[in-house]
This record gives sequence, structure tokens and C-alpha cells, in this order.
Amino acid sequence: MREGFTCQVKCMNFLKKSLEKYLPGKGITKRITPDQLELKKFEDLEHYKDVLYFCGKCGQCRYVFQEAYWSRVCPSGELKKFEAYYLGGKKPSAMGSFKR
Amino acid sequence: MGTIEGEGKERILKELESIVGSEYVSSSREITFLYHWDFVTAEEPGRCDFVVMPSSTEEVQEIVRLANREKIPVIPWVSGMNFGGICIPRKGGIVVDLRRMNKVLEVNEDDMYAVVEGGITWGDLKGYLEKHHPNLRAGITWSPAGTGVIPSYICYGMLDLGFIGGTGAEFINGLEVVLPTGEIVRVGSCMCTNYWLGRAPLPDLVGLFIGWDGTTGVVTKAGIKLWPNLPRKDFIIIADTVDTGVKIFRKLAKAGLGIVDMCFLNYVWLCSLQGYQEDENIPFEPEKTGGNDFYGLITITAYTEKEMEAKSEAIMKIVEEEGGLVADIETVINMFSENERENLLTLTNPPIHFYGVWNFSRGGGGEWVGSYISSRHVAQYYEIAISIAKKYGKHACMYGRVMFGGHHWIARVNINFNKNDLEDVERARKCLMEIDENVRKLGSVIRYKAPPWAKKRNLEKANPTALELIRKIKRLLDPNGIMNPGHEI
Repeated sequence: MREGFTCQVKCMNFLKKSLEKYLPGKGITKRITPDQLELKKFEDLEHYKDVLYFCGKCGQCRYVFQEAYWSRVCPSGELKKFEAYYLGGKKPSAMGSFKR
Repeated sequence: MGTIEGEGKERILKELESIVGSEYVSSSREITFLYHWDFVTAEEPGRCDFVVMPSSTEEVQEIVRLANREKIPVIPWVSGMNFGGICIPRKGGIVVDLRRMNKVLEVNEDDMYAVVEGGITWGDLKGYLEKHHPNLRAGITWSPAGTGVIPSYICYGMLDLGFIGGTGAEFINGLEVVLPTGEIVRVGSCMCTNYWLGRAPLPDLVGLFIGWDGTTGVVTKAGIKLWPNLPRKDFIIIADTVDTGVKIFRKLAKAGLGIVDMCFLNYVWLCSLQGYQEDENIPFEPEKTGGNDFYGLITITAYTEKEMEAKSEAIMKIVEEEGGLVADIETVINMFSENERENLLTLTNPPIHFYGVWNFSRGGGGEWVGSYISSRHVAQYYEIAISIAKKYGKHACMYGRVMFGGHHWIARVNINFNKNDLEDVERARKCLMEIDENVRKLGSVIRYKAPPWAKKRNLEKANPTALELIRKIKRLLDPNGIMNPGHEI
């Protein structure tokens, strides 16, 4: 177990070092994920364009993991069922408006 | 066959409405166009004429009978999420969206299997098991909760129990299928008993529907293996290169340590998982900048604490002997902020809660060269992929798994692109084709869930008698060629 522990400490040190190296400006300088974007209301359409293109229609928005259970959560999708009524369907429709 | 217009279209629409009810069928463009492409890959979109959502096997049967009579293509569809575009309608026709058939029909705790409907998703299945059978678990792919279970299984998906159970295909005990000619068939033990406990000892007809990419029938029910939900421990293993990592994994696979899952990523995919968007700052060759390029995740289960401790010790010993680094994930996770921890921990308990695994933050596009492969070729595969990707200004995201006790591996290289940039889409497409062309020369590479252009390449050197047999079976099952045309093997 002692050998394993040493190995674990080395592993941790390496990971810490790699994060330090790439995060504060040398390598990866910026972390942007959709949930970190500031979604202001009532902006020009252009402001929302990139957000729409994040969507890969993965279906994640149809479910939520809450209190240890996966559950379906999309009201309009569950009501009408067709893909167009889930967020993954609404977003492509919104994308269409940018192309007009 | 082509798309349907005029009076014929109206007549077929009415017939479909009489089968499923008018609220569950549509031919309108704003509904159908969402089924024309898979929204992720660089594959060209297709076109369908109708979308219909049946709620039972009998309704599927009536739809297929209608389609066969009219010689209209049928495209089975669950969530439309895959990296090969295999449910893009290539010749018009009826998309049979199975999402209303999403129930768990039976769980047999003694023989550890579940019978589920053809449109069930990971979220539905896992949600049900967590509530009603928390002592059992299913094998799940590293994908979002909305992904279809049965398509993942019949297309050889790699599950988080792949090391003990093999591919999704091996997790299938039996199937109920509506054949292209409209008959309902049951294959596996369920063909002659009400127990869906396995595929032996009669002729294994399940194979008629596995690996055919939905071209031989519509699966309406499946018996799938479940496994004991034992206490688990996850480890992160780091090696300087993929080559070293493969050697470590190979040794671990042969050590008999009760490992249930062994998967690995390269540095670039690790960055994706953490939501890095600035890909120009991610080094193409991490090892040359002092970084490591192999990040393994392995999972063990044990019945007692002592057993777990002994297995952990053996894992740490082997990894260190082979020149790698190892830490248990609970320790590693504390290095991240609280909200990041929650996301990263889902990797050990799919379906995943976030989309970073597909790197959608860079414009939403991604497509793979995903291959079954010998462990002998994994490192070379990776070297080829990164050098070609670099030529196109792309990062190759590597992800792989050791399957079925180490008897075979899966290696997969994803190329990401911005869906809103047509030049970028084209660049990704060319890059994928070149990677595919070159990795096939390694010998053991066979692509799975492949788009049509790659499927053709898969079979270039296939045994001609086997190919003819495949064609004969297809003709026998689907004489009018209506089932998912354009995606035939």
C-alpha cells in the first residue's frame, strides 16, 4: 500500500502542476462553457447566436438528475412529443431566423 | 424510391393517422426537417416525408405493412444521436419515431434482466432502475440521458460495463422485431419461453438485427442484461503517451482484479471534458510541452471493504511498475471546484450530465472515426490520427475502451467543428476521410456506427462469400428494400 500511496501523491502532484501550467495564462487562458455565459435579456439576436450553436441536440434538456433519480422534465416536449417541441428542436428553428 | 408528393401523400398521411391518431403523425416541414440530419455529424442531411410515433408493436406492424405495400422507406428512430448519421433518411419515406415506446416492461431480479420497449432512453431506464431496483444496474454508454438504449446495444455501443460484459450487442438476451414485411418475430430464449434470459441454446437469430444499422427490421422490445449494483471505486491512471498507457491497461486486463470498466482519453478530450473552449491554446503534442497524453479511468467493484482494499493495492502496484501514475478519483476530484466536481463525477456514473464530452462548446459539430481494433494497433492508430488532424488544423480527441476482459479494444477519434461554418464542416469531413483511409491500413481496424462512405470501405476486403450471404439475408428479410435504405451493410 505504501508504494501505491507514493504513486498516488505523484499523480496528484502531476495533475496540480498541469492545471497550474495551463490555466493562468500560459496555455489555456479562458474557460467558457455555455452555463458560464451571461445570458442577458432583450439583446439583439446576434447576441444569442453562439448560444444556439452550442446545442448538439443531445437531449440533455429533456431530463434532470434530481434527488438521485433521472426524470423527464420538458413540459412542451412531453406534451406534444415531436422533436420540434423539445429545446433541441426549438433551437434549430431559432437558428433559421438568423439565416433569413 | 423517392419522396412522395400529391394525392398519394395525402392518402398515406390519412392511413398513418388512422393507425396512430392524427396527433402522432406529421408531414409538415417544421416537424419533419428535424429528422433530416443528426445535428452533430458532418454528414449531408437527407429528407423524409412523414414522421410517425407509434405506441405499440401492433402499430409499428401496421405502419411497416403499409410501407411495404407502398414500397416506401422506413427509418427507425429513437433520439437521432449518433456520430455516423445512420438514421438520416437517405431516400425519403416514413421516420418511425419510437419515443412513445419508452417503458420498462419487466425486471427479473433473479436472472438479472429487464425487458424494455424499443424507444427507451438511458434516462428512462436508469431512472426506473434507481427507483424500483436499486440493487441492479444496466450497462450504459458515455452519452447523454436522451440517447436510445436499443440503438446503442444493437450497434455495438461501448458500455461502462464493457470490460466484464463486452459490447452492447452482448448485453442483449432477446429481441422482438417487426420485420420489413410486417411479421413480428421474437428471437433469443423468448422465442419459446416467457423468460428473456439469454440467446442459447437455439440458433442465434439475434444476429440478424445486430450490426445491421436498422436495415433488417424495427426492434420493438428487447431483453437486456442487468448486473449487481455493488460498491465501486474508480481510479485515474496517467501515462506519458498512449503507447505506455496501452501497456499498463493490457497488464491490468490480465491481472484478474474484478475490473468492470477500463476507458481512456487523450489530453485533448480531457480538455473538452473540462469545458475548455480556446482550442488554439491546447497543445497538439502535449508530451512535448511536459504534459501527459493518456488519461485512463478504471472501475472496480467489490463485496467487502477488504476485497476492495486488496484490489486497489494491486492496481496501484501494477501501474507504478509499468511507469504510470494512479490516484483514486475521490482524491483527484477534490482538486476541482464544487460545480466542476459534480460534472466530472458523472463520468463514473453515466449517462453523463453535460455535453463537454462531445465538446459542443466549439460550435456543436463532432464526428468520429470509431473502430474496433487490436490492442497492438491502438498507439499507431492514435499517432496517425493526430498527425492527419494537425495537418487540417484540428485536434484529435481520442477515447477508447478495453472490452470483454481485454479480448478486443475500441479506439475512437473525434474531430470537432463549428456547424455554423461551412468551410470548417468541409475541412472536418476531409480530415475524417483521410484518417479513416490511413488507419484502415493497420489491419485490425473495423469501423462501427459508420456513415455510408466508411461502410463501403469497411467491406472492401471482406470475404466475398460472407458478403454474398449478407446480401442474401437482406433480400430475404427485406425484399422491397424499404428498411433504412442508403445505410445497408
